[in-house]
Amino acid sequence: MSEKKMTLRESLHKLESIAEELESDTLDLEKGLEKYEQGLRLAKEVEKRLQTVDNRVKKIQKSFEQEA
Amino acid sequence: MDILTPNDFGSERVYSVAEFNRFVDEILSQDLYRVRGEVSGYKVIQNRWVTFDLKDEESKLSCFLSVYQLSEPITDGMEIIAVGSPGVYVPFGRYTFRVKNVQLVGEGALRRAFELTKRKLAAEGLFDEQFKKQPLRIPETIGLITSEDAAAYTDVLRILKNRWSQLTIYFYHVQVQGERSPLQITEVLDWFNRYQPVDVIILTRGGGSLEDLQSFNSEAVCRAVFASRIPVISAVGHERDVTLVDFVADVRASTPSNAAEIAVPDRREVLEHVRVLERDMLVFLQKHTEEAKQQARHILNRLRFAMNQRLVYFQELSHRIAVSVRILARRLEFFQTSLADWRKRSVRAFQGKYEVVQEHVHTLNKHLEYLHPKFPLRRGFSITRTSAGKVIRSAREVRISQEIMTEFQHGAVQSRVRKIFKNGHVGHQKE
Repeated sequence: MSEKKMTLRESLHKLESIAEELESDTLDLEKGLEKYEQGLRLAKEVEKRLQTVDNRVKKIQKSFEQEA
Repeated sequence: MDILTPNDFGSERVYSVAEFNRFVDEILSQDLYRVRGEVSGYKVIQNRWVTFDLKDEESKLSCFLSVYQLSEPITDGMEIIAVGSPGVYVPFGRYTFRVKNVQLVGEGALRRAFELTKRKLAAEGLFDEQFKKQPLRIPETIGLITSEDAAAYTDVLRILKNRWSQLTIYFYHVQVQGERSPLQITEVLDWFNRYQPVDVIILTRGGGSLEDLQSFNSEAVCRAVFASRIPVISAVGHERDVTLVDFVADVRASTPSNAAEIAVPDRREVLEHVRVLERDMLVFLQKHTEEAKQQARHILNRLRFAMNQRLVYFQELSHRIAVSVRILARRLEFFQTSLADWRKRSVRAFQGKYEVVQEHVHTLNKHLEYLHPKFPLRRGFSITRTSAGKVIRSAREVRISQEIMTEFQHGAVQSRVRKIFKNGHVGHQKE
């Protein structure tokens, strides 16, 4: 799963779940290292995104029905 | 529009009463007019028709409309503007005013209407907490309903830009006051729910008088906000401005800026949170690594201990074997010595015995000599045989004139039998 495809929200949620996984006691050390790296990548990605200013405003152009 | 007068027709045309009333009704009801007055004698008939009188100091006007046309709650004493057309109610020939729309006028009326609507909606449960939906902590799409001329519009967009990124904001311009405002707002709320289900809607406007805020107190808008499946954040005016929409909305913000703050998180806080997570993850990883190391050390120690135990065991075993071997060797030696000893003794014993046996054999030999059949020959006995060689033991075995051989110690003679003496021997001749 490429972090590029995930939305900011999804990335954040994934990051939080990885942190939780790492905290848990039942962790295979090798997987833990993998997870840590993944988490770190995600964190950097999220940080980068959070620092951008790129909201889009879409104006809806529909007109209203006239009152009877 | 020409107004026909009876003069146009002169005195030629004669109307029936109904005709005439209908005629006048038609004339009157061509246009819409706005009439302002005080409501009195308000009545609802069969839950469908509403009648009241609109009056001022000098005169009164009889009004009529259906319940469904009533957009505002009105009661006696309220000052209103009735929008409608005059006409004649033909069956009774009565002059009446058919109301199309009612507008509340003046603080008093508006406040009364506010109270009435509030009580009504509260009773129906529109303000209840249980119906309020919690908006997502991190939205990706936001619906913004306000006037593009309003300061609220720029405020919201600015705060959103400051606080968060990667948002798509769908802005739908509406009139936030005036006659058309409630309808537009309800239509837009419906549109978002149907065609553009954003994560959260911000419904907002700046401050104003009670009259300005009227549409945000209207029953129609409140019902539309209640019906919205999308969570609605309402933000009207300033902290002290409270409208009925604020009671119905899922979240109430005190100002438009506040609405934006509620809608999205603060990027700095989240950034900090992410950094904390990064640190935490490292700590957790280190903790796990340390634990793993500990475990490994522990296992190694146990292994060492076990190996040591084994080693000691085998050392002991080999020691015991060595001891056993030594004992065995000694026994073997002892056995060999005994054997040698025994041999010596046996040989000696045997030799002794051997001498005895030799003696014995010698004696036996002597005996044997005596027992040798030819030994008696030394003593003078002789052996007589037939010519065949058979030894003769008895006189009965021979015949007269048989040739016999007699062996002596030295030599032998051949003779012929002359006489046989059955019993006795040579010493005595018997006839």
